[in-house]
Amino acid sequence: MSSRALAEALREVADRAPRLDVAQAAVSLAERRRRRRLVVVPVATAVAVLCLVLASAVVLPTGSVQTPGAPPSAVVLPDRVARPVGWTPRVTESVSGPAAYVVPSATAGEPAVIGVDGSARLLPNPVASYGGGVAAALSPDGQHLAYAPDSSAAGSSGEHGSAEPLRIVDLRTGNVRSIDLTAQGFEPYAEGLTWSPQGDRLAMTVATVFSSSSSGGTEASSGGLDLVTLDVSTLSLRRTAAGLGTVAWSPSGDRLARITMEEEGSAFVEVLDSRTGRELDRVAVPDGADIDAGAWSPDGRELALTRRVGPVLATDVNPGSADSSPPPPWELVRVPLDGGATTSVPIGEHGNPWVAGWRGATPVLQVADGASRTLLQSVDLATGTRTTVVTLPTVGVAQVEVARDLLSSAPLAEVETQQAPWWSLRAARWWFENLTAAAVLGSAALLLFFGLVARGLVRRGRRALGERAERRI
Amino acid sequence: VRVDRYAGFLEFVHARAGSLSRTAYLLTGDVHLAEDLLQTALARTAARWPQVLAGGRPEAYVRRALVNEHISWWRRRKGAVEVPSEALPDAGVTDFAGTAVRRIALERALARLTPKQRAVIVLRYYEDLSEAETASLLSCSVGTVKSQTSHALGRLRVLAPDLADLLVDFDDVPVEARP
Repeated sequence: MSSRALAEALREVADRAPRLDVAQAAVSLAERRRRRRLVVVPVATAVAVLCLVLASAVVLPTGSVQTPGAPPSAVVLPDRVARPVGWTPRVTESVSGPAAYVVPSATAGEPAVIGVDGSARLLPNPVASYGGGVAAALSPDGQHLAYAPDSSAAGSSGEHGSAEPLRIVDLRTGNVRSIDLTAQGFEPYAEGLTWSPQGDRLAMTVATVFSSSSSGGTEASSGGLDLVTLDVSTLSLRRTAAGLGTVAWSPSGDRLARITMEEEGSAFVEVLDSRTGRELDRVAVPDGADIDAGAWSPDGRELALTRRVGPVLATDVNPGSADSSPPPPWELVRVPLDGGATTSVPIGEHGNPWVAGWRGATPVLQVADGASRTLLQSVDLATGTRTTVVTLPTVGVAQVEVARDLLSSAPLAEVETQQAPWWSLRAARWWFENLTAAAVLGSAALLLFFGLVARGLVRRGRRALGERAERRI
Repeated sequence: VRVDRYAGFLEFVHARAGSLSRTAYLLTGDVHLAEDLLQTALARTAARWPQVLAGGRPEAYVRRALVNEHISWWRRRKGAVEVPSEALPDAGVTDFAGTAVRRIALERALARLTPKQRAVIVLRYYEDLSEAETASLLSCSVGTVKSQTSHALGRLRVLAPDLADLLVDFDDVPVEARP
């Protein structure tokens, strides 16, 4: 039988195999595997549980969430805020409830919302900046935040139609609504965002897009700057008046005040109807520099604003030059809107103060103290003496945002800022990204350094060879 | 504790080491691979020794472990192994009448079968298992064993035509595989 022949041939092959004495080794291997299972399984389980705990610590809010409609008496104004760490959760991941402030976080361009309970949340995107501040505004009740995302951070080219839309975040739910300015005929950039006292409208300065005919046909180009108001419920924009400048809302929300400059250099407070844009009044203010629209008093009778008492010359801001002189000091100006005379009180020389709102019958200034802090200071209207009410962190001259209703009446309280835990997954990711970026930059710098050193050595060597060759000749 | 857990295992392996070594060698075609394969299969057996012993057929369990482990090795290394060629390389030997020459030719031909085909040949013609027993050991149907055997024998004929005297008159060799 052939199968027998094949079996015989297979046996001839198999007989070449030595007797393999692997019994003891097999038992040792089985024992090692058993011990490894005894260690690995509990450790893997523990790691998985730990990861779940860490993830839940990051995802779940660390602070108590203020429920919508909570009694105002329960809301306090934290009198001191620490700058939030870079791995702070975002508003869309865990809500913070009503906010008291918007302050810069430890990551440039990413402001953080500070809740009335001291909780901190980053905005969903980096925020655009302009002038001395960021394009963000907190509603008076601290329940909504409007901001313009930073187009460059989002990778947009910045051209018409490609920039990020304006956003409004509901801080009670984390819900985000977008307003595409380009769809309503405006350039996609907004500045000077200011909420109405009722929180139903938002004033801002935008650039109008218009068409201008050229030789070859029609092409789009930037138009003039306009003051517009956004109806927050319908998200529709209404052009209110031409020109730019931050506005101050009257307590009733029916009027807007802004500073305009005449061609002769005189400054005026222009009072506008907030719905029609019609000019209702025009009140002259003392001339000066850095005049801001300020804030309307709670009774609606006057406007408090700040100004430098004289013009800022180029030499004033160049202290090293021989003919330099300190810039003019500041004063607080009270502009009555019912026909009286303006009055003013000096408020010092430093800190770029501006009126953030009123607390009771006293204006509150927002002042940079030169130590990475922004102070909210109430002003004695008789003497100009300033008293610090709240201490906030800041970076450079970046402005902070304050919920004006809370500033007006909420009691101050010592509320500790709740920082995100350093051992969270978000913190690990933040450190990894930042250390990776630092490592890449450091490696590039080292490569450049050693490249230059090597080039120098090569050149020196060539020069030495050349000199030696010349000597031989 | 260790003595209790592996009681009787060492004695069993010592008693069957020769047979198991030969099977491992036939499956791998290499002494070192055979040693690794047998050690791995025995370690798996030792880990479940009380249950294996209770099953009453420890040797069958080890053979099944050998075959399965060998096939899974091949699957893991599938991307890296040399693809078997249709023709054997020139052995440089012209005298096929001798036993040694026939053995070498068979070894080379076996090396070019897939692990499953090789396992079928070893189990059916070396271990002399029936088709049903082979199917049970390989955890497949009898039909699969038949077809695998047929393909394996057909491939051996193609790979080693000089071994025709071993492979004639098998009913299960496909006609198209015959020279």
